[in-house]
Amino acid sequence: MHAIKRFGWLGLAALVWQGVAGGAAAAGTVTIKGSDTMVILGQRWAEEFMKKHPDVTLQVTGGGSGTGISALINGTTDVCQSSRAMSAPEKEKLRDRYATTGVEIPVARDGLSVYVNAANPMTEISMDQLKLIFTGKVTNWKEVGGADSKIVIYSRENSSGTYVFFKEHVLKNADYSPRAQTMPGTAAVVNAVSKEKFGIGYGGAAYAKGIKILKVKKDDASPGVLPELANVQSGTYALSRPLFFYLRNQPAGETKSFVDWVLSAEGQGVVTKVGYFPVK
Amino acid sequence: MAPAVAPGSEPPSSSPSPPQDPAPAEGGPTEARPAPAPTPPAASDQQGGAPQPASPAGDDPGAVPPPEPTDVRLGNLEGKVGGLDEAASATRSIVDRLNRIKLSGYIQGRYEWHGDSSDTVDASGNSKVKSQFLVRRGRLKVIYDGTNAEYLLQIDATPSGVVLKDAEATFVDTWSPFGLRLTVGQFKWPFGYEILQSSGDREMPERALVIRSLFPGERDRGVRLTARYEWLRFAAALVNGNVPNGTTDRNDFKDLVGRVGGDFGWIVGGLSGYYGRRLDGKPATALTTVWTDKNGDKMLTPDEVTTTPASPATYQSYGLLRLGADVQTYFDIPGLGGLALKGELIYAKDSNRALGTTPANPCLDRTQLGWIITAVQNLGDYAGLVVRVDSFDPNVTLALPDSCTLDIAKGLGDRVNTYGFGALIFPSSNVKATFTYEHVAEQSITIANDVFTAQLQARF
Repeated sequence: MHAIKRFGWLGLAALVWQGVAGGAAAAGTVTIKGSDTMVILGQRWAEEFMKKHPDVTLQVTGGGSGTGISALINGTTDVCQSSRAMSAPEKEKLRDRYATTGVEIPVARDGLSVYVNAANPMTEISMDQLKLIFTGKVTNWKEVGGADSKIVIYSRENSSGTYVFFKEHVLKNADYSPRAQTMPGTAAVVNAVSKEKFGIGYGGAAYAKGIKILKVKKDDASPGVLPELANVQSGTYALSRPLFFYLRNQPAGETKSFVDWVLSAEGQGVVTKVGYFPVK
Repeated sequence: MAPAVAPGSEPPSSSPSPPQDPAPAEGGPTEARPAPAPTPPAASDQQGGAPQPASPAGDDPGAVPPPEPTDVRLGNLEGKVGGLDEAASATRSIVDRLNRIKLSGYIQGRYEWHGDSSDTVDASGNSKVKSQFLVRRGRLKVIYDGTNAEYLLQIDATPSGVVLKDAEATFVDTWSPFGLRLTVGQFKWPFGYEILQSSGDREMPERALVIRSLFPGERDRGVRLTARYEWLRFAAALVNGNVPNGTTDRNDFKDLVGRVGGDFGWIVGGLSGYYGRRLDGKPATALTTVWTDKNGDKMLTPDEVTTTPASPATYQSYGLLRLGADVQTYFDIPGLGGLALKGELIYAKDSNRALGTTPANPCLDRTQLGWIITAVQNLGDYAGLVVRVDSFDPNVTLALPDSCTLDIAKGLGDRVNTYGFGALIFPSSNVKATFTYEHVAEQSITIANDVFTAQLQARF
């Protein structure tokens, strides 16, 4: 134990305390980062919460679910918003750094919607047809019962949780067509589809304005279903999904107050107003 | 108070209606098409349209020309936006490819204080100074995440030189639900927990003695298959069975190593095994005659001559068996942070040890046993404490027949226990400072060989 005497316990303790106290985030500020699908929802929540708690500052940014999860692992955000579940390698990274498995909190539900132009005669589409279109196996609308015109595909960047969810659940992990155009956000997908008569895209239900949403059939024999409240909450809609908050540890302080409020009737009311579906 | 919004995020809206983005950017690497735009009137095309009607400005050179009609300016702007879209599409294609390259690395600079460091030299004249500053690791890793393929290369640059750590050519399955990955190259043995844990993530500065003794270098060359399905984890590899950094395989036998485990989030564990053979060679020696002038009379006398007879090359062949079990648990302690408790047990046996053509002698079999227990308590996001206790017995006495007489075979009192603890500080996601103390306790002798390490790690 000679070295301990030489270097001194007090010095070591001081260094540890400096690490704990010096690196802490500014009191009263909670950072929220991640899913572009959820960024509007997060901002609405933040606006409403800060009206009631003026001493708390909530900073909401997008960038994509993948970006938010990386920020959670790197310690640069307190709350990650994600439109997909954390992957096993991401959970392992969190464990390696923080010795914790993280906290997953479903805060809303979404019916991932399939958008087409308002002038497109299509009204419904099956999961198999979606896979054929987005993997590039089908390139003309007439092959899926539409007009004789080339399909223009709009997709998302690979940091997007929506991109990952669609790839896993619709494409069954196959690669997107190289002809798919990458859009920087759901709003950009909606905007592009609204202008391209033969375009098709996907995104959160809350963004679906100015375009047509297709009914989705689980298979060819099933009826087409729209992403509406009853269908999303019952799971009848094939592309319903939870939207998550992820935290490193059990929430405390301002973060806990915010999370509790988000899950309250008032917070879930904001979910409905924005265009998503409450978890309860 | 409005929520703060960082640049680049989608703008907030005061109503539930979605934000209206500008015209979508081009994204696809091929056949990118801009969103359709209204066609401007042909007469408004300044480059090739119909001539404009004469204006009074044409008669008066000093007069200001009238502004262009709105639809003309709109058409021009849309043309420019279309051009920018094309340029952005080309740039995005390049960025997408560059995004597949992941460059990372870390440097560990440290000071080590050793209790048995001494300002003297040993019998061979080598310095016995051990307390010193070191560049312990200088890692640089490149990964290219391609289509159904992954390239991984990691090197370690230190004052001792540049060493290849990992070189992996991997085929990645994206079709099955098992996430299969087939790798050929140089990689870590898929065994246990501490071997596979990155040195950049490990809380203590070095792996435990049992790992350093039984799995020196932690790596080998061969072919490896990994899979994961739900909570199940599987990895198996066929490897050369070399000592680390050997350039060639030293025997025809290929060793088999693998781990089967489960990952349930808060608890992770697995069983591991290694089966192989070693061949340690000893080179031939020539007849040597050495004269030592013992009495200094410069006269050669028979008693001053030592003769060592020539010996043929010999080899020692033996089998290796290593079995391991590991478990890691994670808890969230309110008000403190994550607590990890990790344990690992390794049993090893080197058997059928045969020297040259001499039959195997069971007294030369070696049964070895080691274990590691580690506790890590995070203190918030920026600090942590670690305690690690490990033990390694290179010769388990009871495993040998009573007829064996060699002391080394009996394994008398050669167990080593190490008690380590330390503090971790994370000023940012890129920096980790580590202060650890390890008390090394030999079973039968007392040596002042404790180690204190102060290390700063910077990573990107």
